[in-house]
Amino acid sequence: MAGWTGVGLAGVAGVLAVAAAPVGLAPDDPAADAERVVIAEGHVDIGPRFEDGAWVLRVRDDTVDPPVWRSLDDVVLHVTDLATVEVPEDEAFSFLGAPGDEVWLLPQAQEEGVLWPGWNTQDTEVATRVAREVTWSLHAVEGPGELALFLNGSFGEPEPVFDSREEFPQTSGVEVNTHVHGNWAFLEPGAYLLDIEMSARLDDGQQVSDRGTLRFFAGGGDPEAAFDTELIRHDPEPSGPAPDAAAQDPDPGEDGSTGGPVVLAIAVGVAGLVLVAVWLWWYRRARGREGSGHG
Amino acid sequence: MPVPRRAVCAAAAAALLTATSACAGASGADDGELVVISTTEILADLVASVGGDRVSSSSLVPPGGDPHSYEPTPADAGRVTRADVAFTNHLLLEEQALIRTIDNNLPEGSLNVSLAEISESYGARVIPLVENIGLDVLWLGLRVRGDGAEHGATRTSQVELRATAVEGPGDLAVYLTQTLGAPEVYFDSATGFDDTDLAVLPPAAHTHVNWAFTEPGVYRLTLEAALDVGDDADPVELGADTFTFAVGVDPHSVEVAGDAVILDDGHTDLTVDLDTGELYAYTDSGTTGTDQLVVPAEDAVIDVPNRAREEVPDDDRFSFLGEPGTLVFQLPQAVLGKHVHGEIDPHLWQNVENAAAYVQHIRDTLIEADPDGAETYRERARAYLDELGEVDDYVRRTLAEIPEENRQLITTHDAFGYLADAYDLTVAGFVVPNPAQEPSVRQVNTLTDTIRNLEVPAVFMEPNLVQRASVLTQVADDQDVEVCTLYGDAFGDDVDNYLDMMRHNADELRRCLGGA
Repeated sequence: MAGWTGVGLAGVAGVLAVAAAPVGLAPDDPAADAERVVIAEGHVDIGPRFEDGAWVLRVRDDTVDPPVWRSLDDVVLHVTDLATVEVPEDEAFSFLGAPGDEVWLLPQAQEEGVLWPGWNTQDTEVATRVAREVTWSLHAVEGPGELALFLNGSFGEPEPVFDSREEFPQTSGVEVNTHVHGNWAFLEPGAYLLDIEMSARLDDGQQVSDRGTLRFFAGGGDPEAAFDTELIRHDPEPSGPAPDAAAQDPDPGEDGSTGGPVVLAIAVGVAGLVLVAVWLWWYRRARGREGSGHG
Repeated sequence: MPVPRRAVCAAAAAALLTATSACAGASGADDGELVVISTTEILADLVASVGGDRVSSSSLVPPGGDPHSYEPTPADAGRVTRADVAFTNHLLLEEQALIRTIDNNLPEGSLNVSLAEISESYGARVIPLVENIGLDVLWLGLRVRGDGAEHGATRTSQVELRATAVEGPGDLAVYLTQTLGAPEVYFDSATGFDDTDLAVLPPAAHTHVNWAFTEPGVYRLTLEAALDVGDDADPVELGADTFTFAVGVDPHSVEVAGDAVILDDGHTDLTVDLDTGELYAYTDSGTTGTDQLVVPAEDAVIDVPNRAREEVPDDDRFSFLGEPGTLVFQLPQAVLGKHVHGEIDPHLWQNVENAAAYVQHIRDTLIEADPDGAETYRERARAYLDELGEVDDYVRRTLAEIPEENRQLITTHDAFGYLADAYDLTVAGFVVPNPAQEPSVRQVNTLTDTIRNLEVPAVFMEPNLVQRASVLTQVADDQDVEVCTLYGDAFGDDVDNYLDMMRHNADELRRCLGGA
């Protein structure tokens, strides 16, 4: 019974959160005018940090001096054709395709001219406040082919971290105060969007989490294209700031083009209210039953 | 529809103190005591110390029993149905059937508390469960620091790092296994050092490599650095220095020219500094965040412990390491995967400060279940915490008397990580990680070699695991070292409470490892 109540509440909260984003005021987005960059060479890390006390997921860009922490939405990591390799004749690597197939692979060891993306939990505040480890989750991957992130044992044996063919969400632990590199393999060229989350429990017991879309572009073509693709989330998570034109434009319905999202939002909001009502009815009924037991 | 009396009782008990005794009485316990069931006798002892006469405290695992393998009986389930509070350690310490017995039989409304995880909020220090101790070692790479502007270095310059000499009982190979399984060998002493024993790095680069040694002993490796600025200019000679490795032997016993600094965990790079021309170890061992320390080459002792042993694979590309199946000592290029995500070592109480966290958690739980006894629980907990503080001091003082090179712990199972972490010992080895497992031939061989290479004076057996200790006693006998006793998960003949157990363990360690 308690379990059912929990599910009901979570569902309601999720739906209401979706409704709140579009009908709220213009989102306060400090990174909105930050420059967008495509990084194709050098060292970057994905990792959490604290900004003004808030836990945020960022890309640390070491290709500029001094390094900067960028919002995920401002970055496309470009896996150029320099990073292509042939799948070897080794059963252990069959997850990359058939022997001889060409794949785009960013190796875990630095290679001249090829991007070297790692992940770290070394932000000083992260390193001192997190209890033991950060949980890294992959919720979804969208792209033209499969994606595999793996490490190598000393003798080369592949040790998977994430694989887009496995069930989502997938999780991995990143020990606090560590910096790690792995092999990122993209089996087809094109834009890949990874729905990732990093979360942790702090020493004081507080849970922190941030989630975002990490963009890769494998092969020739225009890597900027990855900026224009939005990840479709399969669960009730806000999918980014909604257009706020409706709040500013006194007459949004004039051409009919900006009214859509608001109408949709209201519809979702109503659905949320319906859910609340259903839950209340069910809850009362359940309590009533329990009460009759006492009698 | 009638509601079971047990549920009503328990629900009322949570809200009303007066109901506690009534309920307990109704379910068969007398005296109105709070009935508390714990999985192990160690937890039951902590509960009794806080609860005193107000509490009837007992354990499901019988005295001397092993919580990893104890299978509950129907009578145990019956006892759980009469409990007002149940304490488990959890974190996979207890056999799953034991946890289920509690979860399935504890009356609704009774308190079900797993101590280990929540105790962190009471200040317990928790360490992750080591899945692969072969990876619980130093992560050693190569690095270039500084921009070398005064030598005319640019982004396209290259730093050449050469191995020119090695002294040691066996051979050394430094190599990187590439993404698709092919090794790239940088230094290999088996074929003699020449111009090909070379690693080339761009400025401001670092790389992770495997360091393989064929025999135990002390190795001294001399590296020489030069900067190639291109343009057909001769490389600029930077400097040379010698690094010391303790392979399979106690690093404390190794002499170096400077003041020895043992590098045995975290991430360290043997580093060329383009600005000073020096070679040194650059380490994050013992630092926080991105801070790293410079350790001069003459001070560094790089620990390659016995647990860092690997079998050479049956793959021609790795034949430079020796015959397939040969064991080499190896610091791996990646130390990931040593811990299981989210799992922590359950034996928290081997650090007395963690037992103090348990006690505070137990105190607050008893107060919640029996608010009338709040003052009693607070007073008793306060007094017991004082005693724990004294025992903590005692253990610390006693173990500090053991010479550093002897503070090596070899045990029947992996239960003493907290003891080592809190009181400055090293877990050198154990027969098997979990006592419910049988050791493999390789585990037995590794244990034998560890005892021999480290020249430890004694190994430690847990009295409740005597029947599983035959491997340890046999190996100890072969190596002519003493077998002593340490209490891990249960009490025994000599001790029947937690305070005595920790004092016994400290005394025994000092006696057997050679205290002052």
